[in-house]
Amino acid sequence: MKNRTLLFLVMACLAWSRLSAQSEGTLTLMNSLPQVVNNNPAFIPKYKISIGLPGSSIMGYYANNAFSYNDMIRHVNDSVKADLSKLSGALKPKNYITQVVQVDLFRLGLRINSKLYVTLNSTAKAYSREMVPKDLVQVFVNGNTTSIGKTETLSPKAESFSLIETAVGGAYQINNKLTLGTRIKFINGLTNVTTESSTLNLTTDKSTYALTASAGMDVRTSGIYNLTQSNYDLGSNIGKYFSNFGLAIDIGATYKIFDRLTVGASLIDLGSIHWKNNTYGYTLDPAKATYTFQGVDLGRVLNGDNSYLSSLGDSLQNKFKVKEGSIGSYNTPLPGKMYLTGMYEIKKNFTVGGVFYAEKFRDRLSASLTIGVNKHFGKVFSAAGSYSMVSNTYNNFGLGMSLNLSPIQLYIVGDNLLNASVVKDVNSFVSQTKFFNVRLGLNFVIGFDKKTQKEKKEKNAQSQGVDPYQPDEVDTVKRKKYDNYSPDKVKKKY
Amino acid sequence: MIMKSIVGIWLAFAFIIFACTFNDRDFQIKGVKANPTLALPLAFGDLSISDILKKGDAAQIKVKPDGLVYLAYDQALLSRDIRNLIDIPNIGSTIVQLLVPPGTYPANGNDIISTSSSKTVDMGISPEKLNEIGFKSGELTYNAVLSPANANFKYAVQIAIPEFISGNGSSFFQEVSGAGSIPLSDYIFKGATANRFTLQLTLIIKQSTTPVTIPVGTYLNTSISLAGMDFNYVEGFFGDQIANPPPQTIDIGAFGTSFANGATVSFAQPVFNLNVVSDYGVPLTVAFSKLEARKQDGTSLKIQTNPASPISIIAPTTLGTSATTPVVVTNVSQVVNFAPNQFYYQVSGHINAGKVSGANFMADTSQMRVKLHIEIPMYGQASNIVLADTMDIDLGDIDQTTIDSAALKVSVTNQLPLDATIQFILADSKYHFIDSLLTASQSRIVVGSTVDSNGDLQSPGVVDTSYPLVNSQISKIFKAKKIIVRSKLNTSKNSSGSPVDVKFKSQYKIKLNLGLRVTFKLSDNF
Repeated sequence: MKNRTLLFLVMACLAWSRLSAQSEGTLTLMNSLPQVVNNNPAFIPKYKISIGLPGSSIMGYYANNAFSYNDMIRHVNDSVKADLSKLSGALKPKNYITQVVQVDLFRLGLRINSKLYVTLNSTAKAYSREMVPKDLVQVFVNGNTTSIGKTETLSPKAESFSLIETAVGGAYQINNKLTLGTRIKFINGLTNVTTESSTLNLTTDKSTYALTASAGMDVRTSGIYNLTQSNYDLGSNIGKYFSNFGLAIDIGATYKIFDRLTVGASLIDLGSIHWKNNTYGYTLDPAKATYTFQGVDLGRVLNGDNSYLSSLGDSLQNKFKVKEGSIGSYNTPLPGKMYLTGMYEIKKNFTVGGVFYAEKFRDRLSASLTIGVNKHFGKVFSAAGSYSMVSNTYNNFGLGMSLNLSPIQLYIVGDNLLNASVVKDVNSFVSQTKFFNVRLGLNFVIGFDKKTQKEKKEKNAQSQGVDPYQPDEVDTVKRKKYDNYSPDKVKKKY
Repeated sequence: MIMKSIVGIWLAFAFIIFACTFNDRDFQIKGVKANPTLALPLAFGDLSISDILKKGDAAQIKVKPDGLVYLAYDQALLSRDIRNLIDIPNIGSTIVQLLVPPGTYPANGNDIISTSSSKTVDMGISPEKLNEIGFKSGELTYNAVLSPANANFKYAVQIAIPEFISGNGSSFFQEVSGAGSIPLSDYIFKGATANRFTLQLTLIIKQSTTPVTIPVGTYLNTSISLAGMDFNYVEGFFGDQIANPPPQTIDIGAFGTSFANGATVSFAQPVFNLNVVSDYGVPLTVAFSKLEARKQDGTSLKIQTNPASPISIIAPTTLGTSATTPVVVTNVSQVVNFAPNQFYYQVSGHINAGKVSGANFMADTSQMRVKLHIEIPMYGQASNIVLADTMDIDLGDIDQTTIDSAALKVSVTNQLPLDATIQFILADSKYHFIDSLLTASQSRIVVGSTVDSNGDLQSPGVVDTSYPLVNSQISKIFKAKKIIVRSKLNTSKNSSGSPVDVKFKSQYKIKLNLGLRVTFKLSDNF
């Protein structure tokens, strides 16, 4: 019954959130990668020490919750034509296009002891999300007759920021079951565009075709306006771009429900940025920017008001003129994320798991679900496969691989990589992709997980007729760890 | 072995990635098509009968307490022609010679009154016989010359006119010497004999400290003239005279050309008042040589009055007051239903007709006003009223092939008791007919409201429909350079189809919305 309820809640949540988010589900399954801690600071990767150097790891992300390139075009003979009707049919009421790029500038992961794992990292991030309402496209594609008598919502919205994040974090194993983790992020915002509010509504009267437009806008930017000025010297002002300070925190926990099943939860990027460099705003007063055009006023024309038509244009311009100028400082939130994970170790080094992800940013709550497997082939190679429902797409087969040639670890992981690797050509993949992410690079790693080493030792001990679960004089931690287990139990288990 | 396999997997993955071919032609969009359908408002109005009436009549549009709209025209002919009949001419130089007694005059310490002379002067006013004139302007000019000249002789001349009374009640009396002038304003001529006054001159020998000898035959010659005389008022007998003011017109814009070409109209309860107001204290007879309603097509209708022309006008009893003579138009309905564009009238005023004497008066400001007051209530019935207007149309900048189809949306809620058929006539630049946009059945766009037996609104007429325009019509719109909007109006009829008197009240509106629904065929190749 509990499972059914849980399933219902998950499905309802997914349906509501329309399956779209900036998730990295497959990465979450791969504990061989130091980057796994990005998704839950309580995760402890396999390696005792991991180091990333500037540019050694990058992540790219693209998500479109509505349409792919194929939804925009059709092939006519040997050429490609835009198919706007097809596009219009594919659109959701709100179409979010999200792009993210992250580059590791530095990364250090260090297992202090069997209970404590600390991280220090610096990452450059750029995030951009545009929302294009379906109504806006439809007005151009189908005109306004499809929504006569209704109000069309035409206002697009944009959110964008670039920043450098420096974070220090740690995971602490409270006991055999519970591990808690946290990470403090010190953020230097570089540029920002944020839409505090944006409305542009158009109503076509059913009877008279009168057009009523109402608009409002409060768009704020930081570090953008000066860049558009031809005489602006970025070099001498670069320091100002590091004056936008922000603070965020990640918190997470894992809990071993029983020996093979571990669940985790995390909240990522709980924080905000205070923007004060070159803040510039664009506003439109909603109380003023409203107008109903009913056509030419015959009453005024009949009364000889000859200046009426020209004044009509002036009046419209005045009402809908965007006011722009310097503004004061302001705060923006970060896209807050939540990961709920469950990992079940089916057998040694082979884990199945599920990741539920949710993101809240501005007025949008989005979610995704990933299920997958992770397999360590010894300590040299790890691989993961996954299936994700994300960005309103249900054909995302992810892949993750890490080649662990300690001290060098090469890796690539993405939630739609398997699709990319099996298609015949890039064109097909690009044309039909609405969601894609990839994280790849190299880490310097040292010291594979003790558990794995111990398992190897067990294996060797068994082959040598030695009891592997006798306390090791030099490893008190190991002794504690297995205090609750009888050798018979462990033997039976493995 | 494992290492080899793993490396093999990585290499295979790399191979797959790099072996994938990328054909950028798939991302080169060569064209686009769209068929958006736009619904746009063209025109709207919440029009009352006041908006529909020609704008030239805006000042004449009035509303009665019950909301009934009517046109009120008021005009007054301000005639000063009778006042202008009376003119006071200049009086030329009148020479009066005074003898200076000869001899030697010792030095004397006082003025000495010497010889005098008197003369009656006729002011030359005719045919008026004025006994009293209040002068508004004018001056008396004099020039006294001693002959022969004698520089040692000191003299003056006294000028007296007993009929000229000043404001303080004293008569005209001035002592002057040499040449000069004396203003006559504020003097009043009051003469027992009409038009005449007495001019009296007296020589004054002025005091002198030295003796002087006057030879025999010495005279003081004084010339007197009066000029520039105008009056504040006059009294007396003004004579039997006729004044002929120029003709006057009142334009009626409401009917314009809309009532030509077979239009019939019938107004209920029209009002046509004609009053003659006179400030002249004189028997006056006004004769309308022309009093008629006219149409632009040249036709006219005589306006009949009671009393009939010529009309004796009542005179005021005292100076400064007026008297009104009402004149009734007996064929007022006929005149208003004639739907004239203009009222035209010409009058002449005859004073003291056949009289040779009388006590008349008038002021300088006196006038006769012929006042017309016309009320045309928007209450009645009309048919075949044609309104037409021409608009330039030039769709040359629009590619006709981008229009796939179009439809005209009409939404009218009409409280006015007025049916209208509207046709859009397409014409070329020389007004040559191309086509009509609507069929006969489509053109009945405005349905009049129904009215009760009093002509008041019962229920509005409603039309809410869409008229598709076929491609051939759209093609003609693009060819057209002029679009003539022609509407034919009829007042509402009763349930049996008979015309009834209907009322146009200010609160009755015709709410009209015109819209256009256009489907475009848009395509472009890159």
